[in-house]
Amino acid sequence: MNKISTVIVYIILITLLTGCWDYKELEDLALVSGMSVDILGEKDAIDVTIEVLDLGQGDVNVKPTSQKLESSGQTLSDAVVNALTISAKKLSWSHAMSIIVSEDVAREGIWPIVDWIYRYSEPRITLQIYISKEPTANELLSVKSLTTDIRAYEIDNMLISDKYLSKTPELMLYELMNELNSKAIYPVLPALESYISNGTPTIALAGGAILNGDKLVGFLEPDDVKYYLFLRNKMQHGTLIIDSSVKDKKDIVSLYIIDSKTKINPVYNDGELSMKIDIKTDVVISEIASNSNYISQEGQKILTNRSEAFLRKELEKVIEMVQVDYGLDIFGFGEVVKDKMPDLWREIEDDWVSIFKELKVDVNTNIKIRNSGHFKFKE
Amino acid sequence: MDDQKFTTSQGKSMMILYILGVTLILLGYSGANADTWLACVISIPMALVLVVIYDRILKLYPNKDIHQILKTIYGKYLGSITSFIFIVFFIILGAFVLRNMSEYIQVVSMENTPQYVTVIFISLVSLYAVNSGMEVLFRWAKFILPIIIIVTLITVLLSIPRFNYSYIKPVLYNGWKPVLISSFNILMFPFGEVIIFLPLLSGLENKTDTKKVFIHSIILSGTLILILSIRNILLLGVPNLSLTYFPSFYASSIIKIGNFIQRSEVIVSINLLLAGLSKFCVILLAVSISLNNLFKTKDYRKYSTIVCILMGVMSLFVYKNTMNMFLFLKIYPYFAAPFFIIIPLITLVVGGIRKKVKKR
Repeated sequence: MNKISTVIVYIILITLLTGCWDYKELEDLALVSGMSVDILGEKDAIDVTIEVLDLGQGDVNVKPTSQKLESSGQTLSDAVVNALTISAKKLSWSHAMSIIVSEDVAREGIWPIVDWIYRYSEPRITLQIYISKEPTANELLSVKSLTTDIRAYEIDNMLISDKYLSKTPELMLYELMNELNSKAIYPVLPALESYISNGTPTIALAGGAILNGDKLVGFLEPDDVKYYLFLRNKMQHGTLIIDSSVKDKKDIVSLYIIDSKTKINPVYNDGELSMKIDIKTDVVISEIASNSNYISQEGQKILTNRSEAFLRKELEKVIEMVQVDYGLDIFGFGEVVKDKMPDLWREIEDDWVSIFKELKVDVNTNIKIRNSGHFKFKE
Repeated sequence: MDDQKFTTSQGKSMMILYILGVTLILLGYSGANADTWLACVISIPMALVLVVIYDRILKLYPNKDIHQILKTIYGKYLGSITSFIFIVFFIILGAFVLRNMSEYIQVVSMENTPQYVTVIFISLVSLYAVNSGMEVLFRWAKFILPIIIIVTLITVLLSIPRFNYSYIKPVLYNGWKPVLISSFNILMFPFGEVIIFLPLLSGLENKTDTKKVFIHSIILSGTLILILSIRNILLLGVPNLSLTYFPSFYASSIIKIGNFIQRSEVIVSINLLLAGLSKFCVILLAVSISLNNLFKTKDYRKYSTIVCILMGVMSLFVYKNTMNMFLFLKIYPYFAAPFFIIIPLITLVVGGIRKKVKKR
């Protein structure tokens, strides 16, 4: 009896416990690397292009390539599910990195996309949403990649490398979620555009896209994004070009930013709020296209003063531009006020948009030249 | 029975596991948002007061188990009824715990697997563990606790590079009220639930150590919960914390160092399964032992199977869906408060008076 029951238990275990309801074989999955979201034809239909990894089979040295699935539907989740009509494999979203949203869709609001990703268990909340500057997002995903064969991953790597350039805002989905729900800050997403490099069309990071709520309102140029990153204390590396040429005498110095720290403090005086911004930046001289000696004691002083004044001027320009053109607090000044003066913030929270437009800023820059590379100065 | 003894440190380990249990994944639901950590800090001393009350009840009659104590305090009938009410409450609690686990598994990873399948396997394992005896179960707890603590602390260390300190500021922006409410919530779930150890602590080898077991495990598990809630706040920030169902899962999914340390949310799920399983085992064991003591039979194993099946079946019906489960978490503290605070307090007062009167 005992032996028989043991045998029965073994048989049950072997037949029942070898798999489960949700087993997933790698061969049956299509790994999604990214997606573009458009409104192409009818007004009420969403068109998506899903980039799927093609891992290749057989050979030892297979290079993964990608395929594109196009489908459409009434809503985003409908469109994504409809892609299965042309795909033999189930889509797996856990490795998706980038979602490109076209300008039209972004102007109507990106909240449904964020909502879908959060609800669906597979995509990760660290993925990145991009806004297309071209008419469609689809065309950006379709152009061939330069360095790798997977478009969506290349975009992601470009964004990672951008820390040496600091001209694109990085905002992962969960950070976007926090900023979408805050009155004290408005999100800026990275923008993409197409670009022709050596005759081959490809895509380039093209500054930032300003959102009001979840709706796109405008774009920031890459150079403006640099100063935006300064103000968000996200500046890592990048160049500052100090151009003091006069007429035909060329005098340009390029400084490469090594490290930068920004401190913003609200000042409340006689019922008027202003922002005190202190920026401490360490730079190295990366290029001198000039005959003046910037390596000498006085030269260093002149260069420091000039670069500080230059940075201050540019920052003020960008702040004023945003205040006048958009009137949206993308720099997170509201967050600073909320943090340092919570009582004041409670009063002005609802009027913040109008207060921000008139907000005075006091920018102090402090630049320290660390070295001049490996080179002294041509006498 | 000889296999029904456990040492002080094993008792502590089990109690810590029990408190961490499903808390590891449900943490962060409180209304205090960015001040959740403050609510944790406040709830720890409150929990210490609570466990001292429980300990005093046990110490009223040191040689009796909790059901005999209830009988001596309230008389034969009222005492049995009180015991019975508690047993019913614990059965419901067991169903909740089981459902939390199966719901988490379904929402997070296995969408198509019906919940009864997960419930069947979890309860089978627990039944086996409980039937192996108290000693085995408590030894297992001592073995498994360091793993959980180390793994949890590693996830905290790995997430430090992604911390955003502005998420935790400004402190107390919404005032004290939500903080106090959520500290009450944390007091009821998970700390108050340690009342279930009252019937089990009669198996403690050194009977005078009950207070030590209670206080040490509250402090240690409270510290862990505090660290985890701070990690969740610093990683996720406020709307994420209050809008997602399982913040710990999402928080650990953000961890990424280079290209090789990532997708660590699996670790959270393993932690959940280990700690949640021990929580369910404790509830099952406590209910079986209580029934055994109440009906004065010899072996609690007679009851464990039927209680386990009861909890398993109930877990499928207690909530309609995930949304309702999280809506209920908001009411749960008020549902549990009579059992965790009011009845124990009354018992202690009545028992104390009775004892004094008797002495005279």
